[in-house]
Amino acid sequence: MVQGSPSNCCAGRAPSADSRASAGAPAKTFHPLVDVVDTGAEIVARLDVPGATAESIDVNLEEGMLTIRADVPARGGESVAWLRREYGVGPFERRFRVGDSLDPAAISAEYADGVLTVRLPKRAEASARRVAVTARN
Amino acid sequence: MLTRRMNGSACCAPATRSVGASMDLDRLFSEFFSGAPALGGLGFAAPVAPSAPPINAWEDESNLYVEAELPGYSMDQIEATFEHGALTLRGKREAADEQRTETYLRRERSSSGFVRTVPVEADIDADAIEATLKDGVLLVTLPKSKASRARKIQVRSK
Repeated sequence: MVQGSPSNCCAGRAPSADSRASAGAPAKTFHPLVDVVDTGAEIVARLDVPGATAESIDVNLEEGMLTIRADVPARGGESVAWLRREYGVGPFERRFRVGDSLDPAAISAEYADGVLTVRLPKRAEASARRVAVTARN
Repeated sequence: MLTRRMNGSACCAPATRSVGASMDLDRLFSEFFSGAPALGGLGFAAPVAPSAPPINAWEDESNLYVEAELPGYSMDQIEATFEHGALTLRGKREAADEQRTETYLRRERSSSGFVRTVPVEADIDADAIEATLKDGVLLVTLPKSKASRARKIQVRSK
């Protein structure tokens, strides 16, 4: 029997507004945690989607809206004897607005070790360019 | 602009976006809040990963199972030890990411390591404990020692 003080936090897998409204009901949708960085040439979003597989992840860009959805199968079986349940398992979904300065045709996504990395290259004219300064004597 | 937090330790006062950061972020890549009122980028608290990961645990007749979601970790960055009747999970991550020339627009994921100890009140066959890591999910299987397994006792009439 596993015991200990219960965690008072749910993060790592933050429930979305939808799931909060229907707490306790099955088929909750979770909000994956995300880091977004600007590398200069591209915007890179890294999302924690543990338990998903590359095949179960859907990355869809439509009318400037990037929707990331991952189906995650239940683990541990249907009727197990739970000793502790500090997080729920279910599908992930999160949406982002993508600006015009990013190139929708060049978006790529890669999944490894429970982390989805989405790369959104900037359009050529939008990325910073170094301007050579020449000396004139 | 939101500046990168230079030390990954105890990161996590709720991140607030300044108006400037909000404009920058919105222009390139921003979260879509359906139905939420516009906050003007002020007072928005991002969810933040805990330093000790939550766990799920369950049992069947022969094993205890302890599971934690550890996305981004490889097996050699995770250490699981069992001693004195407690399972300890440790995660160590190098700061390689920190050296890149990246500007964080949003940072919710945990970048530092973690430690979590779970007392186990059952007789465990410690030599047979196994841990697997798949798609960011760590599953530790702790076999119950034979003596502690529930057994059906035959009732015989005299």
